[in-house]
Amino acid sequence: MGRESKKVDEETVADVHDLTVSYHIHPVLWDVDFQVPRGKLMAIVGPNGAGKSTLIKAMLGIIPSTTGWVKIFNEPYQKVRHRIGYVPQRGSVDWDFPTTAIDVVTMGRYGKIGWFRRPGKKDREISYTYLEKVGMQDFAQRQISQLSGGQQQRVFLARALAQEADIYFMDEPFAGVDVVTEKAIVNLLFELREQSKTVIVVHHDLQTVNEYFDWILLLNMRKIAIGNVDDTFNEENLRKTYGGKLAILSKAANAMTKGRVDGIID
Amino acid sequence: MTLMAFASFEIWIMVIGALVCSACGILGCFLILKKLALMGDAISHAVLPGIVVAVMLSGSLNSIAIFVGAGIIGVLTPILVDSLKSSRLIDEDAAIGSVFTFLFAIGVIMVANAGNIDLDTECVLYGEIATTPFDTWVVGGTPYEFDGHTFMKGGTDIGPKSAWTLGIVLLINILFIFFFYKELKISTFDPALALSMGLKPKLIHYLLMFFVAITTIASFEAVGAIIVVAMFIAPGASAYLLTDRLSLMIFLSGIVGAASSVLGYMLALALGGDVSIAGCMAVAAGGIFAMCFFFSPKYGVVVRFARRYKLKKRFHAENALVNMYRTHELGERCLVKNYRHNVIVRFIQQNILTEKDGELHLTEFGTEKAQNLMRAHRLWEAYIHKLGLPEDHVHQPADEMEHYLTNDLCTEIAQELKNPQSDPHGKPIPTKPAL
Ligand SMILES: Nc1ncnc2c1ncn2[C@@H]1O[C@H](COP(=O)(O)OP(=O)(O)OP(=O)(O)O)[C@@H](O)[C@H]1O
Ligand SMILES: [Mg+2]
Repeated sequence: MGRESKKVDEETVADVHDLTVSYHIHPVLWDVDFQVPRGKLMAIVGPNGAGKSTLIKAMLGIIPSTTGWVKIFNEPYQKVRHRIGYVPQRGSVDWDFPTTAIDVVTMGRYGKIGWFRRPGKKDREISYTYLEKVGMQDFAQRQISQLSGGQQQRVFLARALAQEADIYFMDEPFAGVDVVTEKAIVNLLFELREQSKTVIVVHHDLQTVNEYFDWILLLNMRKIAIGNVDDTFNEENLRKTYGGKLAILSKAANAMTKGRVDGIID
Repeated sequence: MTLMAFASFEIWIMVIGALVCSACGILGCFLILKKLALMGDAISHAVLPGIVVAVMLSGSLNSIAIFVGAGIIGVLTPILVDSLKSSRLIDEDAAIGSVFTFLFAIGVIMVANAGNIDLDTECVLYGEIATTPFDTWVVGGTPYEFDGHTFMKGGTDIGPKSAWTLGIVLLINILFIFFFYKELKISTFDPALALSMGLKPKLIHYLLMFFVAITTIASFEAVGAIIVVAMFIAPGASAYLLTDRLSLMIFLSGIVGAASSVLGYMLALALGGDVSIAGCMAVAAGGIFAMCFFFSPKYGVVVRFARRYKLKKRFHAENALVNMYRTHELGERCLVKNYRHNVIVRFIQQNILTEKDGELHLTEFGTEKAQNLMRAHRLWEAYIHKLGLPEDHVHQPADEMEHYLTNDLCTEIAQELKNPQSDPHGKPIPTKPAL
């Protein structure tokens, strides 16, 4: 990709520049570089361990990156936090936590509320509206461990909606939900797109990519390809993403780790 | 006039105990939810070098210096744990274990080498709550020297010093939780989201640990290190079993803490002799936890058993009733000897049955009840038969469902099936009884 085409214009909402991320000394993402245009529904696709969750976390500053930078709405993410919504992988929280569905949704408001202040009546109303939007209003007062997996996923989605953001990052929002719930969630995503919001979704089901998304990032430790689904989501790119050709990168990472550890020991 | 005249020293012991237990208990809620129960233990040991350094620098057991030293260690411990953990060479529990034993060992060596430090290990481990009420604060008096010590003449006695210290610590803890409630909650439940929102979960974590350390130090004198650890866990764990609201859990943990103190003191009185009062308070806290475990209205073991037993009893009775109805339906005689005595007695009490010459007859009320069950049973059979289950498979599930189906649901099923007259085996489905 030529440097000229990297020109950041009005319509680029997320700009990831040569991002490398390591856990401890083991690199998991190498020189990832891409832009996301406004108003796209973008899938991030790649095998387990490809670094999809890692990419999202690094973009949101949840984990540090080794090199490179990320800009969202042309600013470092710290400056635009209130415009970002995030749905973590469902397994990342303790569902036995003593709290209710509506309370979890209200947490989506915390960023907007800011330090020390408490969620007010307005925040509760907004949260309830979004709980209704995902069809969970009857479960508002339920303790969250007493919800099914799909219901928990809906609550997470409602929480992200309550963030009232301009760009959303969702890590496997369809994991463990039934077809009806999946369709309901997709319709909500379409709605967001109509409001020209950008939604980035880690997605595992290759069958539905064409139907749900208009933009796609294929990822496996590095960027394989990015672009509109019609052109980019093809057999060759899929082979590159899921095929075994990445052995070299993995070996390189291991060699690097080993080299550094040996270096420390020596 | 002194306060001691109003409140006997026994009340002061309970008050001081309650202050310690509640102060630890409310912070303990977050340790438990963060799965860091061990951290309370760790910090209460790790503060030792902090205390020693503070004593060496200030030259006395001056409490302000000790609080500062402990506070620093309180923040240092989790930072060390975090950096060990992020090396990915060892797990979090191993990291906690090695950091606090390391710091504690340093403290022990320092105590041994600095011979002039007056630290009573017995006191540090077990505390001396029985003597705390007598070390009171006097304001407005004039100091005088006697036998090398400074005493106060005149002035007002405003109660034991530790009651004041612990009261202030409890108040600070309450204020901390009150003002940072939202931040504490989200950092505990979903630190990644908190971080992405800029609500600094790490900072909140270190603040929490700082207050844990301060509370530990304040409690040392009264109850000792060992019991502090119990108080960080038992009240919160009890409260966790009683509610599924965080705010209520924190409130209840405070109450459980206070109750542990009072009950513990009573226990100590009952046992008499040389028994450790603080130890008894820890035992009481453990006892309350056991009670919650067995009797909690939601999760308690006993309640679960009771509920299951009641359900079983109901099933049993309803099955007997259905059986009697079937017998009548077949035109056979329903004999007393075929049923359990207590079932018959209860049914007769409930005006379901009458008995005559060893034969049982359903009353009008009994018939209606039985018909309801029968109707549920046969409707369900018809329904799942329609769903595709073969005829000889429908009886068993219906036997179970008949106990659960409500009248409304039966009506709905009947409508769905266009009011069937008989079940898949050709037995008549009783119509809905006129109300
Ligand atoms: N906290 C961590 N510490 C160390 N290594 C990690 C950590 N989290 C993930 N990894 C490693 O980083 C790599 C990428 O992980 P990541 O979770 O980003 O994958 P993913 O693409 O989201 O996979 P999945 O589809 O299974 O969710 C994996 O090899 C994983 O083992
Ligand atoms: Mg993932």
